[in-house]
Amino acid sequence: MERARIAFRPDWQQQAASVGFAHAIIDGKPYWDETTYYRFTLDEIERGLEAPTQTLLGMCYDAVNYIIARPDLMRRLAIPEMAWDYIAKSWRRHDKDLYGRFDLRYDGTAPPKLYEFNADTPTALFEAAVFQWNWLEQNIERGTMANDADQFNSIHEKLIAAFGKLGLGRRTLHLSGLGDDDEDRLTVEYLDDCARQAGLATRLIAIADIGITADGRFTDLEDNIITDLFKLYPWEWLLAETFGAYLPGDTMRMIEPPWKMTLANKGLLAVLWEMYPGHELLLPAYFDGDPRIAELRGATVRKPLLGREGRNIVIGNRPPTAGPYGEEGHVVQALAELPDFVGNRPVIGSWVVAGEACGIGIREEAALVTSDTARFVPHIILG
Amino acid sequence: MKRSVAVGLTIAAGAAAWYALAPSARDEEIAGNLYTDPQSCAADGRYTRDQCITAAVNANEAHQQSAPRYATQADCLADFPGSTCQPLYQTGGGPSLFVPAMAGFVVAATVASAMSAPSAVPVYRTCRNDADPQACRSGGSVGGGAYYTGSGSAVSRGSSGSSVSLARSGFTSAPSTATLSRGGFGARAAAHGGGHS
Repeated sequence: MERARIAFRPDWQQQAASVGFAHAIIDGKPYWDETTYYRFTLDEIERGLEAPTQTLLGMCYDAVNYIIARPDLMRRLAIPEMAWDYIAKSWRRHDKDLYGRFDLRYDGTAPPKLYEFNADTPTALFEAAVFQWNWLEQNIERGTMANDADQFNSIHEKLIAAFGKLGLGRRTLHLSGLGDDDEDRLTVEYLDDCARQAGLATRLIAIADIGITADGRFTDLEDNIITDLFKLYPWEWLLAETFGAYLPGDTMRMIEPPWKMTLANKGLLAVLWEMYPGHELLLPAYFDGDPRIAELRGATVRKPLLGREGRNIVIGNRPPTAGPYGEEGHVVQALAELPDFVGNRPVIGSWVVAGEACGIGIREEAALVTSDTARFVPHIILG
Repeated sequence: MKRSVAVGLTIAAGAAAWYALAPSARDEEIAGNLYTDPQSCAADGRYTRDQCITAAVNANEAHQQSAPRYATQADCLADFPGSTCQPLYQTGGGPSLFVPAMAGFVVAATVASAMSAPSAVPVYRTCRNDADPQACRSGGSVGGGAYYTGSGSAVSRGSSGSSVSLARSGFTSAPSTATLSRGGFGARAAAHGGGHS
């Protein structure tokens, strides 16, 4: 694993604009940074990232069984009791999940360590699946990259295949999110594109436009009943909002399914450590207040159970990063500092689609806590 | 090869439609008459006293079934400023909900002419923040402020008296599939600035 420099494509900004990648530049600074890339060997990708990601996903599926059977854990994860049956039913019914992103510490030598699993509303998807792929293809075409350079990235193909296997038949898939946020809109529109390529009939609807009928069913803007909904919107927010009380009683199929709530929670890190103590892919982690925290060697990281984008994170005795999260409780994890590549600290976002590890996207910045302004840098496999 | 063979997008950037067609594109306007109570309806002379009472009763029934529902009084008042928002009494239990007070009813002129019992729908009144609340709540046979059907269609006031027009869909009675309320999701995004990770 090496960090390398390369000339940017002169027209990359026009390309970003033409595909709707509006947040490629945020506040005048590139979020998409193609002056840098990471180079992996095939062995580093397959043995160092792909196989461990698959292992972690299997452990997570086991954790769903474990958590659902334990009311004390459901409570500890701050999952509202009114949703417990709803969650358990969706798991027993084998409701299919679509995607997720493991954030991993990896330096090319030691086994990766799990920082967290973004199981409910992961983004940085389009840049990983599409823009990064275009970058490599075009650099090979232009002779600026070796012909045999490859990339760990079949995310796009796997998404289309996954939509095709959802079993929707002739039912319409509604896709929803915040219609007025560039990143969310791009993610939802990209997934919509994949769903259509899989042959599904789809409709987009802003989350705030979803309606409700007298008998508690959900509707789109033309009063069609929504039977299947992809939502890029946190489960815990949906349940807490005005219409949330009607979700458990409704038959609408949700993507991600309700059972994903047991994984989209930093408390998962403590649960995994309880289930697999000492596992080489895990960092020791406990729920806040656990006396074993005192036994952790070295510095620790305190994370909100339901935090996002590196907010409200406390490393050791340092002041917390800013943010609105934390009221549901915290988990404390042993600190494993991000590796240092000449002052840049990359975190590997390892994607799973329909149960399969299928690609990575890398974010880097100088800080130890990766925030929403970390640059996205592409990668290649060579050698 | 560890990467996709081809990565094609089929929808041009910015071409995706997040919003349905405007109601005007699929809904013609029909004429009717707006009354705040059976007495003003009868006094208008277009309908008999019995027809007016039947219309008011029908509208009230529709109001009970399909008034826009809100989890809190504040949410209700946000959509119906200047209105009175009351708790809805539900027979089956469930979360307590608030509905705006029925401010009157619209009798559909075309339907009424063909039937002895005129079709009527409940309407709800809002006052803009800068309107004089006194003038909004009182005044004439139809009162002040702006009127909406339960599905959010505006009731357009005619040039004189009780005449109004509104979208035909306001008269289709299918409460089981009609949307009662929107905006019950999305509130937390404003406080947190997006919910992705």
